[in-house]
Amino acid sequence: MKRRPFISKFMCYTCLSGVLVSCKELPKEVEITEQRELTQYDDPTVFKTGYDRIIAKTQPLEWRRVNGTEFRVLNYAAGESTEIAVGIVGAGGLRANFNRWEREYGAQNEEVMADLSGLQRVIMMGREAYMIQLKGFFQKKVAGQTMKFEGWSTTGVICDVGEGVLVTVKMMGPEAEVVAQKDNFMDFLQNLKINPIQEPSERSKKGLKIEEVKSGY
Amino acid sequence: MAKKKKNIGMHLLDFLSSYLLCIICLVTLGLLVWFSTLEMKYIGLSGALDKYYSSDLAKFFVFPTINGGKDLPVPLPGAYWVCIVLFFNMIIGGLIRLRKSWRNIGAVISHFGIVGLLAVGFVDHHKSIHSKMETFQGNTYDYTTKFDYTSIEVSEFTAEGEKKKPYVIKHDMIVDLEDKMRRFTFDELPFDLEVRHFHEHAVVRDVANHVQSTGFGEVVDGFFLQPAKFDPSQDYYNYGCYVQVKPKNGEPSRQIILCRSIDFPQTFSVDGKLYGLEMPNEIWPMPYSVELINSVGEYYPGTRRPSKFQSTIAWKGKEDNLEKLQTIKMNQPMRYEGFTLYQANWNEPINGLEFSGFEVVTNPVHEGPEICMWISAFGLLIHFAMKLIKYLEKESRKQYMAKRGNQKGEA
Repeated sequence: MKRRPFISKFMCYTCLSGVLVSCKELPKEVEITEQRELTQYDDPTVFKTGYDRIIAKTQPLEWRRVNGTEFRVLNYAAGESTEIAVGIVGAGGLRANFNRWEREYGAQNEEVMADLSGLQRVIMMGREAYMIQLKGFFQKKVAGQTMKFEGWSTTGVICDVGEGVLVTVKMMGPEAEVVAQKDNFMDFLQNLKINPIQEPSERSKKGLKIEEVKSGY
Repeated sequence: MAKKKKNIGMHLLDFLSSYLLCIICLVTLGLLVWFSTLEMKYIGLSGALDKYYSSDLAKFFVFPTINGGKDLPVPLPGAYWVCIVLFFNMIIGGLIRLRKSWRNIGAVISHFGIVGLLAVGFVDHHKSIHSKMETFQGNTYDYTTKFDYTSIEVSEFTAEGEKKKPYVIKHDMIVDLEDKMRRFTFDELPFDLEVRHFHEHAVVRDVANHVQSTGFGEVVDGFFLQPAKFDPSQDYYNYGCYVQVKPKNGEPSRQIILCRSIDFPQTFSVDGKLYGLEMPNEIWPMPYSVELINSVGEYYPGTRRPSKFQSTIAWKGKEDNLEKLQTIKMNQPMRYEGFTLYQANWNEPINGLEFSGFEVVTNPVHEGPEICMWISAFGLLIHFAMKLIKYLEKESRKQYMAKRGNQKGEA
């Protein structure tokens, strides 16, 4: 009966090798060579779990796309403190939104921007949009507290895309940085487009069931 | 002759092959299934799977929780480890040490089936891959995202904004980096990446509305990463980490926050080219594409829990390019090239688009459990048939003897 000691040894070695294998650690430096094939995931126009209403085909190289927020569909950073935000507003109208930006520079009067005729006009997403330039003491929230920043500037554009929906594009930051990014900002406006909401295909609209589909769709 | 004294190894071997251990294993497995089913209500499916069925040595012992509150003071070994013990118990006791004779052939065959079943379970645990495909009407989907496997994808964008094939840093390469740092190099990219402060569950906070406290990550472009407690009932790990981009041309390095919830690339430029980093659950290209045609479902009365749902899909393999139509229901999946696509979840239409969620699984031994069950059933059939024949023979012999006894008495 020599088999029994062999089995117990085999068991011990198996357990030991299992423990040792599970303890391996990766090195501190790893070279990555694996590349994934492109799929529908890489197409920003495809409706996934999230949905981008506005798409920027390209972006200036000096800008960095960063996390969005509730009101920023697209959000970029440039230089040390400059922010570029693209938002969609469904209420308030052009004047009310320009007034909101004015108030960030300390304006008190609700009717500051009573007239839009003096504003520069630009073409964006195939429509006419209004552009505003502001500078001075900029107020923004930090950790829930309103703080003032001296020597800041805002370049903002609002475009009415119909059905009461406005697209806002705003660049704000230290004046020198905002001035330096002005050309990039103007180019960026031309890269924006509305991502139309995906629609069911014709055969989906017909509400076909598998039996009908099989029978000759 | 004096009985030979057994050493510890032999005692251990006796115990490993004993009926007692087999019964302990089966009872423990029964308890684990019972407790995990009860606890699933509170910690979700993946929470229960992770707690009771994990192969992680750190989760060797399990403390079942009763009614989502107190832990039972009695630890149970995890189901994975119990199955390993049962596997060796079956091999040693049920195959090697079992007395070999024609009488036991049925038992040997059925034990062989059980051993096979446990082996298949082991391969399935380590080699099968589960992923999900979320489809909306109006587009085709040719990828899935793996469950609980994060990744970091590094992409280059052309001047026209087209994404090139991304490099993929896989889950296993970053999951241990909570307190460590690892450098990732790319032969064809002009930078390296240093990944640190990895968290299985974290949220991205903006400094405008949140206070950065001790233990939170540093602020990058107005955001910071806050480690969060995983909510098992949500079955959703929101992975996050910090990445330092180190240009090879000597430009200053740049910090980037990555998180699963940021579902687009965080961009930066090096040497006049635009690059993006993102952290989706590992993207898995499929050998076919799926278009959702219709999806219908019903809720349980008074709840938002779907009771039954089904989808009609049009799909085509990348090789044959011939479109096929199929209805997927619960327990009626689609199989293609080793991938099985199950109906997994359903929601009411979003923005007028019907939605259907599928689970896509690949398992190298997906036919294994059925084969093993047939082997076991065949073994049991032989075993019980032999027992029945033996019983019938015994009975007929008894009757014959009784008959002969009666005849003798009458004579």
